[in-house]
Amino acid sequence: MPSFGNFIHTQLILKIPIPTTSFSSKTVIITGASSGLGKEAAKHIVRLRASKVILGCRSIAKGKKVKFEIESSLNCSSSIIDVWEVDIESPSSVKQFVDNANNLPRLDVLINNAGIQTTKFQTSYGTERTLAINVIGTFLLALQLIPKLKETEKKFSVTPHMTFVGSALYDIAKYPEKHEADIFAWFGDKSHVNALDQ
Amino acid sequence: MLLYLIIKLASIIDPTSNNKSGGSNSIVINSLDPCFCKTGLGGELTGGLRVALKLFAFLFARTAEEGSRLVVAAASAGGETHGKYMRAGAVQEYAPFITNAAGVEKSDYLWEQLSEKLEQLQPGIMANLKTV
Repeated sequence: MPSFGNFIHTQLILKIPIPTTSFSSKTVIITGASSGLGKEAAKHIVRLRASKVILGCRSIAKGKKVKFEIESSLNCSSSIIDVWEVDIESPSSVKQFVDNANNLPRLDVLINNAGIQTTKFQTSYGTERTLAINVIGTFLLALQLIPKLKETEKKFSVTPHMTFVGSALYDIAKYPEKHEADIFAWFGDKSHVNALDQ
Repeated sequence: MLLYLIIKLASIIDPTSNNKSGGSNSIVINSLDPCFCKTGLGGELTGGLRVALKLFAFLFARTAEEGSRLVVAAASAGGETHGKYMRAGAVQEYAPFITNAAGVEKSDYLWEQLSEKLEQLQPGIMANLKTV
């Protein structure tokens, strides 16, 4: 966990520069792109001249709203932003998304931004739901797009990126001292879960 | 848990490019902390926790736009960020408990567990790494 001083500095004092690196000719996928960080990152990447930006969203309607908002604020062509449905809590939805991505001419950047935070205990994928979505669902999508990134690397001699949006609080999340052999099943038991630790 | 797994994935994809600055044509896999930002996360909180989060956000939070600059920076960062974690726009070394022998053991164990889980959900998925 960052020290208090470091936290204050990072939150209030540090100037975060506006990104300037060009995304020219690149194809970028951003998950969880209908709000928050994903939406704002999409806006920057379109401004930085990416040729294709795919907003992966659970709700097409919300994604389209973001698409139109970016297009009107940047006055860019409507052919740049596509909205694709994806729910990383559903393997078939992820598979469909991956199949579509494999039909793209190239994939330069995958930003794994989709995630949830909750204090309600729910389960999914046989474990606690935050873990299910933020970890299992995230990797379910990410690993299936590795071949496309590799193909793009070879075909276009570029360096593709796979970026995961995480958190500085990783080190206060307690790793259980003892758990059953199957850690995901172990976390699927409510008594083992502290919402702050996921 | 995510970091242990990202470290492992990065080492499988390209164990050599770690610490190399630029030049490498391999995939760069990294992660970042986007700062504490005002986003939809935490929106379903209720009661005291909700009030506390709102107050904390009012005092300290950056906008999602500011946080997104860090996301974009990571998504265009050089090969020296491969397998690494970025905070405030720069690579930040992992806490020792992540990278020490016990940490590596956890990475390996969690990767095995994750692989098993993913194979159940999407049979054949781990073969995607073999094309690398």
